[in-house]
Amino acid sequence: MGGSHDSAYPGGQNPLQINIAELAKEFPLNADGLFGEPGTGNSQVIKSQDPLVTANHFFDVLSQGADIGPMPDGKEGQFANFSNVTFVSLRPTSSDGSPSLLINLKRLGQKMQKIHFEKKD
Amino acid sequence: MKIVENTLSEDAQNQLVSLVGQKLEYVTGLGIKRFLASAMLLIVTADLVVDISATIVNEDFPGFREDFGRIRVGDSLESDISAAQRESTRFFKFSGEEIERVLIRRSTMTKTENGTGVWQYVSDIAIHFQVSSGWFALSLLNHHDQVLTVTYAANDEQLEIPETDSLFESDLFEKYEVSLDDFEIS
Repeated sequence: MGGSHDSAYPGGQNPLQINIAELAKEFPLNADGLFGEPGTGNSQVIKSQDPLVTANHFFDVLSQGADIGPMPDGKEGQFANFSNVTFVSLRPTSSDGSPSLLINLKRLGQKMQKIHFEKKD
Repeated sequence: MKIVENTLSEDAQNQLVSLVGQKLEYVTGLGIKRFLASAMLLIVTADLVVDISATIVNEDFPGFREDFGRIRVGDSLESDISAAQRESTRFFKFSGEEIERVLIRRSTMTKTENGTGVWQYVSDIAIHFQVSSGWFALSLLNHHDQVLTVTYAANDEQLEIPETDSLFESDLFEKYEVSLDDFEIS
């Protein structure tokens, strides 16, 4: 996932790229640089015993060094902002009921990915 | 072809128009620290506080459902507005200048398969404000998030509105084309 330049940070690497590399030690990326397995539509899926715990772990690792903001309307969820260049947002309950996470590196020319966290059978 | 619309209501547009003629004081938003992006932004003028936020709506497309961000105006909780004014960093660019015009940027994304239209998604993705000496815009970060970002520029052409990114990417068989239309509201 490396190789793109973000002039806002010393050395030019956006912290989210570093955080993704760190998380990939636990959850390997596929050939397209995405976490998990292909799901329905354009989403990836990660299955675990406790999807919310896994989703929160993803957000905790990926948001290191970011400004973290709340969601309005008293909703749970957070988003992490790395200098208005890359972003991660977590919704504990998305429309299908599962936690979902959006990783957005489009401004670095990399693919955006959405992950749904589902319970392992 | 299925058409899904996710555009600003007439009431929302009327609230935006109420800002014309107002003197901008600052822009802030819920949870803003160093960077000007939030799920709820406030445009604070000498006489008005207008909240612009985004929420997630689940839209029905042929063969799938997907979450999309929708811009709202004037629908925020009072507690969120108070928290933003009390705790968040304020951005004073163009402070004291009169808001002269408001424009909406409408995106139309069309999916085609083998040259045939499958669906079209029409959505308002940004609001542009012209002030005395420049422009600023509030825009959705991407089609699937509820985060809004703010950009400033000396003129409309220089406004760097982020392409409203989406999870949809063209391949050999499926094509996604986006057209943008800016129109003034008054």
